[in-house]
Amino acid sequence: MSRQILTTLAAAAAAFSFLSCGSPVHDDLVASLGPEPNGEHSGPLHRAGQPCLTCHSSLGPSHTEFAVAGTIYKSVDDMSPMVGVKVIFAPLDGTDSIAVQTNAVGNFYITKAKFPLAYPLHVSVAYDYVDSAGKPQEYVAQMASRIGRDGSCADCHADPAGQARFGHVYITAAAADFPK
Amino acid sequence: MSPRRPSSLLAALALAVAAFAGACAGTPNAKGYMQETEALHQPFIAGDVAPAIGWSCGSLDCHGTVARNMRIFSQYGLRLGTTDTPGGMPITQSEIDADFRSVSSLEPEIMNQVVADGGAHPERLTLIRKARGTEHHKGGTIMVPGDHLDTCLTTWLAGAPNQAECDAASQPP
Repeated sequence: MSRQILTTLAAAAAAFSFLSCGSPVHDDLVASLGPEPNGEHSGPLHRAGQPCLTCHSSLGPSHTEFAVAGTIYKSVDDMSPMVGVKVIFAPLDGTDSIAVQTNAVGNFYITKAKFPLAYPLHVSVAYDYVDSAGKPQEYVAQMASRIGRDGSCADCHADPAGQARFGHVYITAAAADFPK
Repeated sequence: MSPRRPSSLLAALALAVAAFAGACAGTPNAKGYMQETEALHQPFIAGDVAPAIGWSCGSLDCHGTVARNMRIFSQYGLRLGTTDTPGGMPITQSEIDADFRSVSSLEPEIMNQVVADGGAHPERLTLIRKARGTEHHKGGTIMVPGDHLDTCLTTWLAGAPNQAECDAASQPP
């Protein structure tokens, strides 16, 4: 076998081994999330509050790739999931915004295939309610900062809040201020 | 001509390397700032440049993370104080100073030239090119010439930051 063929085979083997290996950093991140809590099954209702795109990215292990995803809670001091609220993403470039509704555990997601927006993004949450006079109202809370590049809410909104963490996503700071 | 001894060649090489390194490095003063850009420090504070950069660049998923070389501290991003949290107290003087060090230490020699030229051709700075999106920037185009942030930064580099524009760049449109 000529030297050229051997070199080609060695290069192919090296390329194959490189491409077939996953990222150990990513693998560690996925493993750090642990097993499904409370015997949940994968699906739209699972792993509320966790950083969705850790698994729902091009690196897997999920086959469903998300562009943005997260979980909305009531307030800082009340982690009741907010069901049926609108999460609105508006790009800085002024193109049309996109809205999605939270499900029964407060989760929401938009798949990458259905998300044409470019970063940076502004995001707000709209909560519809009926006031004491029986009149329908909408309460809108806007996130104080932009989303620069990371569509996984819980990457920044992890608990407990700290130097580089906001804590979970909420609609009002205090439960007592929640519109009713 | 007699052949040069290896030891003198090594010494000459070491001298050249030392001179080259000296030519490239900025000179930190007692506060840790680069002397070349010290003239921009007070305008950075007075012009509210830090909150503008903080709001526009310093979200926790961009330059508000310890993984970035140009690390930005801000009220709604990364905090310097160990007990401070994003969204809490307004930006502190320590954070403003840290932001100045982050920004001015990127290319102190070029920044010094821009300052010496009265802020002309700020696009010589990677800071400006990346924010304008004229050089590859993972965060995309953050500003365009004439908008609030661009005016804030370019007037700051000219030594007289437009505080109103900086303030406008520090909050949602």
